[in-house]
Amino acid sequence: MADRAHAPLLAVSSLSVAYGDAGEPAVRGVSFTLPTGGALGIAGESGAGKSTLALAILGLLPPTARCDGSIRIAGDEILGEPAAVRRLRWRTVAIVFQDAMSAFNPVVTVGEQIAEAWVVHEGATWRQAMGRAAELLDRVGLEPALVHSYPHELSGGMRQRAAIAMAIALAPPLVIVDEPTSALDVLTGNAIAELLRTIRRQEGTALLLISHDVSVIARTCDSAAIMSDGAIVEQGPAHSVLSAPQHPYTRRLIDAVPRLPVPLGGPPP
Amino acid sequence: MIVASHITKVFPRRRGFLSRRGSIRAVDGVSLAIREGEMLGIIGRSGSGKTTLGMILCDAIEPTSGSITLERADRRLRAQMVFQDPRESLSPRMQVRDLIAEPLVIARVPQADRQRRVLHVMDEVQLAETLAGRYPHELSGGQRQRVAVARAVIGHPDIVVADEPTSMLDATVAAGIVELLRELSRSEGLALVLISHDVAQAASVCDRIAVMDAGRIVETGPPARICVSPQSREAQALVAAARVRESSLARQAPRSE
Repeated sequence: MADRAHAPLLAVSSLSVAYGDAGEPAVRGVSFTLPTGGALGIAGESGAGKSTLALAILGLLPPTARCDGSIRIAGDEILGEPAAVRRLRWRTVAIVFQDAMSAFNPVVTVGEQIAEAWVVHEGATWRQAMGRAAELLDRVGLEPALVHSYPHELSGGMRQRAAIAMAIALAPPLVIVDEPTSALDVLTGNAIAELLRTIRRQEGTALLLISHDVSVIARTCDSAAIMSDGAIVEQGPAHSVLSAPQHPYTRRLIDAVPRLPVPLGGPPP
Repeated sequence: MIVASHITKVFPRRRGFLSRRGSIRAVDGVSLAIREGEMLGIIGRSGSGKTTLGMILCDAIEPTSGSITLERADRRLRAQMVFQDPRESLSPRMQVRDLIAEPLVIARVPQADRQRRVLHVMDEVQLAETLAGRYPHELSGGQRQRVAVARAVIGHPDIVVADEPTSMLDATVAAGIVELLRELSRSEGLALVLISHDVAQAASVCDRIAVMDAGRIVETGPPARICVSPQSREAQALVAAARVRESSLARQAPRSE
């Protein structure tokens, strides 16, 4: 068990996932580790296998998926161990989905949905839990009074903040964030990237951030892995992968980010 | 020239259940003109009213007040829209050739003529002829959006409004779609409106940019001027946001850990 104490928070090794019998693998031979408090960004385009990877880590793949390799969270093997995953979900690993609207129950207030975590997992009373939900909303930059709002009453950016609050309610050491900014405008997306940095700094939460937007990864993560066609084509420290990419696919992803028609540090404002 | 004068759109608002009634002014006294062959970018954050304005410009909804007119023509404006999500705007049960031909069927263009024009427009939007018999789910996201663009331009409209046409697409595919819109605008003499929250994207292809904030156009100008010296606070905020994104990728020196 000495090993387990020194095990990385998340260790994925030689993971392959295929859907159905004849299906081409969606994930092929993926390996990486994420230390406690670290932040790894996985970038790639649609169909690259990023979401399959996230679902595998959460034990949410459909039963028809065939998996090979290993996924260890804090030393525990979870691949093919649904009971182990259920024990870890929310307490040890939580997820923020791309579409925050679908992550919420539309007929329950935002506060109750966050508070439920403490009521179910820690035996808190609803009254205490609602008070803590209001505090948590404040920490993610929302008005505490929004505990009484329904999800549809919030804007896209506010919902994304509320979804982040729900994910960190039980202070899990690992949060998976799936395309946190792709449904948001540039301004709101920047604010969410900033919030994720703050949460890392203040709560020490490790982040596995999945995004097609390499600039979000550059701002929130210390390491980056680039996925294409199910495989990681390049990985390393975020600043070197994203400022001096070795693989042509990484270069294409970076070049595709729209640039202003004026060089940075160009004419003064 | 297409001229929009004093466009206002007011939506009734009902917050909660039967409570707090009021109204929201999504578009508030907007006037603008677009020339044939011009590509105009309307940029703004979510909720700025840009989609509502776009829908009014292409006659998808009625303004509360104001008018859209086609100068020097005594006919109705012909307008088409390209939506965010081609998965939703294209019928899943129709083949590509029928999807693209549909506006011509509605306009009662004879069949022989339709076929010729479908092939011509497929070539223009760079869709291989071999895709004509496919269904939308058999296409990539970028190909689906090209079908939506082909549908929009085949009937030779006066104006096409593309509302965030790349937001569901990968960045590497997105650039190709906005460039296609620019080419079509030039070659067809189309007034093209690109609605975007991304000033850098709009600046990469548009001739002129209008910045929207809270239902009003707060600034209009050529892309280079807007990006170099934005005058309004909203343009400044949008340019700053694009700059933050860009500088995150330009960083060369390793951060100290």
